[in-house]
Amino acid sequence: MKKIVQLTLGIMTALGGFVDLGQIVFTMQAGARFGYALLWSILLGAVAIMLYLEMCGRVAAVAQRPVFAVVRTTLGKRLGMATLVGSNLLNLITCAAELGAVAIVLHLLFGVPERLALVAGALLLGALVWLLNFQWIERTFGLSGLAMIVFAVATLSFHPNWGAAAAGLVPHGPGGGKDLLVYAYFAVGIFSAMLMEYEVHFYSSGAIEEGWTAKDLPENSIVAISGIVLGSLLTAALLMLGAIVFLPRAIFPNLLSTTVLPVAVPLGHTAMRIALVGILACVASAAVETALSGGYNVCQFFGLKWHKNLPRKEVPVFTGTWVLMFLIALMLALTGVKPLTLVNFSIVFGMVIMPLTYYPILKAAGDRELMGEHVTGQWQQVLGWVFLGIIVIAALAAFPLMILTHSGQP
Amino acid sequence: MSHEELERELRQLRSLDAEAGLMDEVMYGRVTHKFARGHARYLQQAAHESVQKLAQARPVPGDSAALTLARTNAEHLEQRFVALMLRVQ
Repeated sequence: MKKIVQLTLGIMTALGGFVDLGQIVFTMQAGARFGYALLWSILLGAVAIMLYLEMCGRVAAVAQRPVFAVVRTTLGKRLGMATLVGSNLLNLITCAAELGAVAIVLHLLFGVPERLALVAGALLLGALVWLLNFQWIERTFGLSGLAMIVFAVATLSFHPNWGAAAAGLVPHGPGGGKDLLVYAYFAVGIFSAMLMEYEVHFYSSGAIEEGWTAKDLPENSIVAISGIVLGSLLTAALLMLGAIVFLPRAIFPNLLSTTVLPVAVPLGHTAMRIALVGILACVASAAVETALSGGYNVCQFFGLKWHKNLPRKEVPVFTGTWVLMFLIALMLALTGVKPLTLVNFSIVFGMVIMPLTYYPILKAAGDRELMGEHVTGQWQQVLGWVFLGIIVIAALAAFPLMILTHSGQP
Repeated sequence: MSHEELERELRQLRSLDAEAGLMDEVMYGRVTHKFARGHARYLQQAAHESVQKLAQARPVPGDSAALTLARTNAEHLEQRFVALMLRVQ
């Protein structure tokens, strides 16, 4: 019974912690622009992240090697260092975007001035991370993120056209020319938002924080698969809301506050408040995960001691790095740069450096010497290579698409 | 401002205008007072950015009339959002 409760909690946490600012905005914009036609990119991203999350959890549980320890041994010191710098820069930009989003949601919920909300929100989050242990951080944010289910309820209340939604699971572009480029940009953006690197950094570090061993591999698979299936359904609901509410009205949601309106239209102000709380939990969770990932990455790369649950005196570099990440991200957000501008950039930049994170995971998970009898199966390796190929193609296309489409603007 | 940029700006203004209509739909009873005020301010800021961008723009030959229309639309839209903000004060 205790095991079932733990498992349910793990799945609920994974579901609540899966969605972030990039996913909320990108998927809704994609729905507003192309209807259901990009649902397939959510499906593709879901299968890819499920596969890689399971693999990095497996490597962490069996070999006790988190992502950046694997990056260093696989890519070598130089390329590994470049990956570390790139990943932490990405974490920093994402953290600043999510903190900016926290301020916007606090402003919309309580009417407090945005700058005050930004400083207070960041300090409060920093204090929570400082005080809580890893399990409580994971559960607090993950479980509050369950409020996002209100978006799925809103979608169902519109009685969507399920036939059209099913057709959206098969790629079919909008003819050619500029529209096709914008379509490709959103496909790459959604795929990237679902595979953001910090998710694997955090998941793999979390597996070690929680002391997983080879015995926990079934739990790893169940949590990774079920949490992502449910999280992806939520992401699909966001896209469908964009298609149902914004597309017929020719609205392109360029503001975070706009993304709440599809809940308010059918369900009213109480549901709208719940949606805001859900978004707050998601963006706060992503801010915390990116800051902590910064600390994890540095320590894992240089082989230094790290653990959220250890006394801070014993892990000074880890603590100092995540605190510094928070402070720099706060300063970046205080410059007034828009969270959505940052998140647009982070999604594309994240896609560009993605192969350097996912290739080492794939290689380590398939390394018989390292993994012994728990090496990934042949089908999982083949699928992993196929997805790595897709990731490389998307990485090469990301920046040109961003420039050619002006970040997908209508 | 190139023809393509002007067209993009016009599309964004149409989107903001449509969103103003949606706000009218939900403002009474479907959203909270604080949300309505906050969102109206974000919309006004977006319209204001458009006004400023269009005010500084130089049209390419043949686009003068379209640019003038875009400027007028952007200014009307900003005023509409200011009025919305005042309604929810």
